[in-house]
Amino acid sequence: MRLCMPIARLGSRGCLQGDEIGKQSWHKMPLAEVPYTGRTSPLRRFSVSLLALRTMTATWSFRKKTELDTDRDPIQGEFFSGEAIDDAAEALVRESIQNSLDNRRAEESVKVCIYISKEGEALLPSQLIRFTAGLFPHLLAERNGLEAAPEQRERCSWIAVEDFGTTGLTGDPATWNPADDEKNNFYSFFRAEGRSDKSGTEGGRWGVGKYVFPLCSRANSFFGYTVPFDTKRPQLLGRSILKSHRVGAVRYQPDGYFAAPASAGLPPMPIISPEIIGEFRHLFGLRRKQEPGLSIVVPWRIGEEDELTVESVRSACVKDYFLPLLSGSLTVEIRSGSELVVLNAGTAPEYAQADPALKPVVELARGVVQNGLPHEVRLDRYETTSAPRWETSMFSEASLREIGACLLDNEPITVRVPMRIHPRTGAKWTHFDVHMIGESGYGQARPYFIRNDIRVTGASRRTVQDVHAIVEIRDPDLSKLLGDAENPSHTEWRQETRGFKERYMYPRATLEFVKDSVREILRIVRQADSAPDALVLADLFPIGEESVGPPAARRRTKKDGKPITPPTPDLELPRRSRLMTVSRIPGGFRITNTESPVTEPTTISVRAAYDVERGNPFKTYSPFDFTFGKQITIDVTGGASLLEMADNRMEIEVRSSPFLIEVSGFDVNRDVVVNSTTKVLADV
Amino acid sequence: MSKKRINFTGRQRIIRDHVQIEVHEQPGSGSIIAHASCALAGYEFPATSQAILEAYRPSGLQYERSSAITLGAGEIAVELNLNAFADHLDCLFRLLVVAPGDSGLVLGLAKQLRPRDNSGNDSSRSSILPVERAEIGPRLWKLELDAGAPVLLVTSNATLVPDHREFVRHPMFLALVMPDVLERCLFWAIDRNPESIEEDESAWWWCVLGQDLSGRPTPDAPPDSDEAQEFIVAAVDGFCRRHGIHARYQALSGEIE
Repeated sequence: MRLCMPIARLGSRGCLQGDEIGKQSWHKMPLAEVPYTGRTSPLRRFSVSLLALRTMTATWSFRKKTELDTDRDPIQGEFFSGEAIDDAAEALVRESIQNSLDNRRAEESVKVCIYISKEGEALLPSQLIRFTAGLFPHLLAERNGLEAAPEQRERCSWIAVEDFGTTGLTGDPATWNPADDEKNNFYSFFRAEGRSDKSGTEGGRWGVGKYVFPLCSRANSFFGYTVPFDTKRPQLLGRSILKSHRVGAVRYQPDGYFAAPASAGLPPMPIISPEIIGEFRHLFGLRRKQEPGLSIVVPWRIGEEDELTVESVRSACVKDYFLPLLSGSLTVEIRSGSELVVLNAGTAPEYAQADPALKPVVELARGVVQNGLPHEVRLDRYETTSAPRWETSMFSEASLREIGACLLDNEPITVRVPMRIHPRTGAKWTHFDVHMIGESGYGQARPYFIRNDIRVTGASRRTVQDVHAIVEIRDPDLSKLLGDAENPSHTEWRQETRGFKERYMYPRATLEFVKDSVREILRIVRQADSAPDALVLADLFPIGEESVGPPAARRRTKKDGKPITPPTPDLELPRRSRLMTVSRIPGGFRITNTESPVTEPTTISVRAAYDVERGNPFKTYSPFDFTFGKQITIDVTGGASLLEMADNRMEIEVRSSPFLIEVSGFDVNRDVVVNSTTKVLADV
Repeated sequence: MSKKRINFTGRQRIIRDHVQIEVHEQPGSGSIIAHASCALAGYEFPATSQAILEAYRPSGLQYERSSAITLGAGEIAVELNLNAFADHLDCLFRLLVVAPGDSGLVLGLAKQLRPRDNSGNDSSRSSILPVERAEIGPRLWKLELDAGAPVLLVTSNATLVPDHREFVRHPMFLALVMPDVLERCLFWAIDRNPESIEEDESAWWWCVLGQDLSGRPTPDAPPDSDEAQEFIVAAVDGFCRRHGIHARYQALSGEIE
């Protein structure tokens, strides 16, 4: 058996020299040297493993660019530049913990250990030689996309993110051409851009979340050490993502791998050498021995000054993952030197105390995960079968009362909201929960949106007054829908997200229904409370007695044109002389002069609206009801002339009697209210 | 300003006094029943018209409807089971008279009806000044006169005013605010110069209240005339005397001290 590289080319510690490696193409290596394929026979795997144990070489390799390759500039970093992610710490925490939660083993609690090396701990270049072999010529190449590439003599600070209680990267690492329905986490994590095996209720799905790791490295590089729970076989692979670049006279592709010696027909294969893996674990102080899970090491980390600190990571963890922390499904350990912070159900609320916006939300969430909130209301399904829409009919009198009372008393309450979604494959009812608590005098607060365990930080920027709220989505179908609408960094729900409109009907209304849920609940509850109260002042300003005899008698007198004769002397209201009268004509009304003469030029302002059962008809007017001059014809004759008109208003100038204004064209199935005022022109 | 309702539908307003409502528990079943006695003979509704009694929450979010009763000669009784209401005490009622056939045309309507209380007193009176919660910016209250009828708006900010009833019934509010509210409503009503109760019910009742409080007839003059101002002042004085504004304020001052 041959070694993959001539021994003469090894450096002082048996590693390849970078400039020499750069001249190699790993895909041209002989097949016999393949260390582990994952799809080969057991006998071959055994022999390959033996070889790997003996193979002490592991190098960084970039493939040469050929005439068939395009010049590429990987852009995944842009996915994390959204304003909903504040900084590198938050991006790292969001993506790494989300991946860990998505890969949780059944019934297991996930533990994530984050190590941030301190300045004094930075590794010497000599300590790193084995793991940087072949890398520096590419890191130092011009126009490789790195803004602050590490120097070869520079010490290396790092971040390690390890998860436990997870599956690790399962799947055949030799796979390079998976079947469409093949689930292969290893392939998706290391070998695919924009591909994810996640779907349905899982947090990630764009397949770009992993790029947060190179993003946190000044070398745009990271190592992944995984123990898949099914094979229990430790594997180590490194990845570097640059632009297409030139080393010497050779142009290279952007993707580099720290891998076992290459073999033709196989992708860069993970290192399984216990010796190399042992040294790697020791060097970077990893906690993992043989436990299933994934350990990521980000060398030459960014944010050495202040961006990535125990405090910033801790803050991001509590802010984005308080719900799984409180429920016990997640524990996070953050270390830096001797500094240790443990986040769990007991400590997360303590750390939230310092953040006035977060503290009440975490307290609310604690109530939810411990025993459920003391008050729970289930809304009724809305009547519409098309786009989801908030309707007052969803709220029974009792639920309105309970929600209103809880908010008033600052008592926490859960409102379960039914929601009909419309995948193109068939509509179905789902639901989500809105947890709320009032805080008198707090001011404007933004609701928190949590899909499964991931907080969608930019789901809605609309605030509510004096109420803290968490919108929690766990229903699998609704979670899938919202996941499909998420942007790559999982911070927003957008109807424009690729493929969303094609998969679902009413995309905008569907997302708005969830985004506006807290505001709509509060609006309906407060609106119910704001219905006119016609009783509270009944003793001060009462409607008078109505023992006034049959109304028909009164109508007759009016039709006869005689003055109103009130049925009792107390109700008699004298009449003042008027310039005009308003009377009904078929389909409209007429304004005419009275016997009072027009002594001065006067303007008559007229407003009309269809009458409504409750409220101000003029406020409920819409141009869809009617518009003067369109559906409504106006005929002005005599000593009057039309000055202007718009919508449901018009102004008429009257200079002499007689005058006649006829307005017609109204829907006679509805009553019309007419307001008219006069003003002497000299006053105008 | 004058307001005129053009009654194309021919709907008549049924006077509240012509619908007497009592609520009682039905012996045996324990059901809560609303019983409405309606005297509708003078309205000239067709004999085949149907009367329907509805009970509703002031919020309008829940209502129950009785079976339709044929009107006949007009003296009818309509019953409605109120068991669907968890709490029927704050229910209001309305009576509708609907045209024969399927048109659904409402020929007559009485609304905001309240039942007689246990002592047999008529509690059907409503206020001509409804109170409504609304977004009114930094203000705590506002008198809205732009609508068809005056409305007293109270801020919807539940932090500042948790209970609007308590707020408008507070002795300080009654003593310092209500007389001015009355003055402005009377000014508004005189300006509207209501022609009839059908045409402008709210202005009509405000004028009637002014007459009652002042002991004078409603002036046949613009609201800013001396005659109208005297009427308004007399009415507001009468209001303050009738409701013991001085005594209320003194009692409140004593509590504060």
